[in-house]
Amino acid sequence: MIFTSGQQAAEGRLAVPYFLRAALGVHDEAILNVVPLANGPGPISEFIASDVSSHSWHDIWRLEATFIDRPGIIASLASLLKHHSIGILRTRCTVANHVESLHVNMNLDLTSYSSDYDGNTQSRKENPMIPLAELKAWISAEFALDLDFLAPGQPLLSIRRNHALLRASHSTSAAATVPITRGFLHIPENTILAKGAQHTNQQAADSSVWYLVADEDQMILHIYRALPRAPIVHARFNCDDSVGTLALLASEFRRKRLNILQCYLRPQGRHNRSIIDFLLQHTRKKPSRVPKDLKELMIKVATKFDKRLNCKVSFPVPRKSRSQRWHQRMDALWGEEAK
Amino acid sequence: MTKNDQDDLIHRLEIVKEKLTLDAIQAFHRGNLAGKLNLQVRRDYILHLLNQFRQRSEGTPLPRRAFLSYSSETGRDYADYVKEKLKANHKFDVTTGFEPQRGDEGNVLSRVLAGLNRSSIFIGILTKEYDITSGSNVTAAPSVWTVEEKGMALALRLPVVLLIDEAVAADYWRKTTPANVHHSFTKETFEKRADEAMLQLVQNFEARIDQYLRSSRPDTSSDSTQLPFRAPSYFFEAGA
Repeated sequence: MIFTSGQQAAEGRLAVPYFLRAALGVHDEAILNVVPLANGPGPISEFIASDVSSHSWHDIWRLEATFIDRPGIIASLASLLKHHSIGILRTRCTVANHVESLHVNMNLDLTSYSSDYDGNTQSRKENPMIPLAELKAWISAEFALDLDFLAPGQPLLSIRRNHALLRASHSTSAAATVPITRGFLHIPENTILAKGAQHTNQQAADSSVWYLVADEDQMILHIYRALPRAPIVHARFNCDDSVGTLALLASEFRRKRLNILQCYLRPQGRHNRSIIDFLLQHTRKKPSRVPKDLKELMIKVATKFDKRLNCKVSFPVPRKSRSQRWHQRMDALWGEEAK
Repeated sequence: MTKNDQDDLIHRLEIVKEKLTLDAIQAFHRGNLAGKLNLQVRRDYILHLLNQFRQRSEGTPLPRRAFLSYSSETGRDYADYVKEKLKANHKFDVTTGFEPQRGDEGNVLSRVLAGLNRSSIFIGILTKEYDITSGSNVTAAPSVWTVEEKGMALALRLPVVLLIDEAVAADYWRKTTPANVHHSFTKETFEKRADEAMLQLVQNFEARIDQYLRSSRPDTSSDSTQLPFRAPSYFFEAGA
């Protein structure tokens, strides 16, 4: 899972950074299917985007297996899947353990696969808990001598459903096909982003802070914006790298009724320090009890742990859009020349 | 995938299991213990799948299906009563040795065995069919098939009850079945005794279901008799 810090939309467009596109295998001019995830009658605050056709979202599965490597494994596996009318959307495989093991990771489209035990695509949509026991048995029989077995007697073979796409397939809103152009993605125009008629969709999009999360395992890009009803803060803590640092900070946030929306911890390396980014939202329901300034609250938290963790806090500003930055530069340039 | 494909899967799993068994034994005879253990783990897993799919092809591991054994000449009326009550009161499907079964290979013995394998409980109705004279003694004997079927059901460890006509000699049932499964009847008392017997059997079935749900370990030991050849006994010992 890879995510970006918040960004403002510009003219209803979001910048999808290269590293997110690369992780998803989605490149320029690719068409994404974007579905708004409605949460009641209010304005939309979350989208799911994927290059997989939205007609198949309810029946996308992920196969993971480890084989003892030999020539012909992929050929046999692909032939077996073809025999069962199963489409392969993506495959990643690599050798490991001194070229003795082969890890295979496939995303499969099972809309044309049907069997008595595993059902057909419609029955699998209606009963999401159906395991693909029959397909697993066929693979186990075909590769009985090739599969890598764990000590308790289970092979390293799993076939799991893509639950994120299944959930998105239940959305009542229709999918919009949106191209990625020069790294930008347009928020679909037919979605309602603002209540009432005082703002256009584009204005509502541009005034929101958007977060992008690429789930390369699930082949999806989550796009969501901070809900306006509760305050959000992005705080970056720079602390000593010791056991229990995250536990201390997270417990403090729990006490203060702050919900962690995103957390990104990484070591700074040279100085035994950790950098922890938190995206936090207050969860108190009574507006009178919500602290007015969450930044102040974060400073208090950092001060509390300063002695113990040598803790400092900063507040990264949501990155402005590329066009906003360009305009800002131009304003500065022409402004100086005018002076 | 059709029914034939399911049978294909079971057939394929059987072939793979037999190949793994052979390879494991060969590895053992060559003294390659690590190889034998590796193959044994794979064989156990395939066997687990095989049992799972065999059970599934029967609908459920414990289908609500009863095998009814009776003589078509002297027990038909009694059988009709039991069949009707099992269906109406206890929601059981009823199968008999007279009906064709999937995989019965066309002979009576395998048809009965297939029917018993697909059932979870057994009811035998022993009615007088022959008079057997030995010297001056004359004893009433039941149909040979009802006795055969009872023996098979006991061997398969199905819950069993026997409804026995009082005229039938005790030699045919007393020493070969547990005492608590006998229910003697006359023509007048049949319905009452049959109802008691069915209740006892259904309670036994429910207890079996409870036991099944509590046990989470797949049973892989029961298949050892289906090996294509006699394997050394130590081959199946845990950790061997």
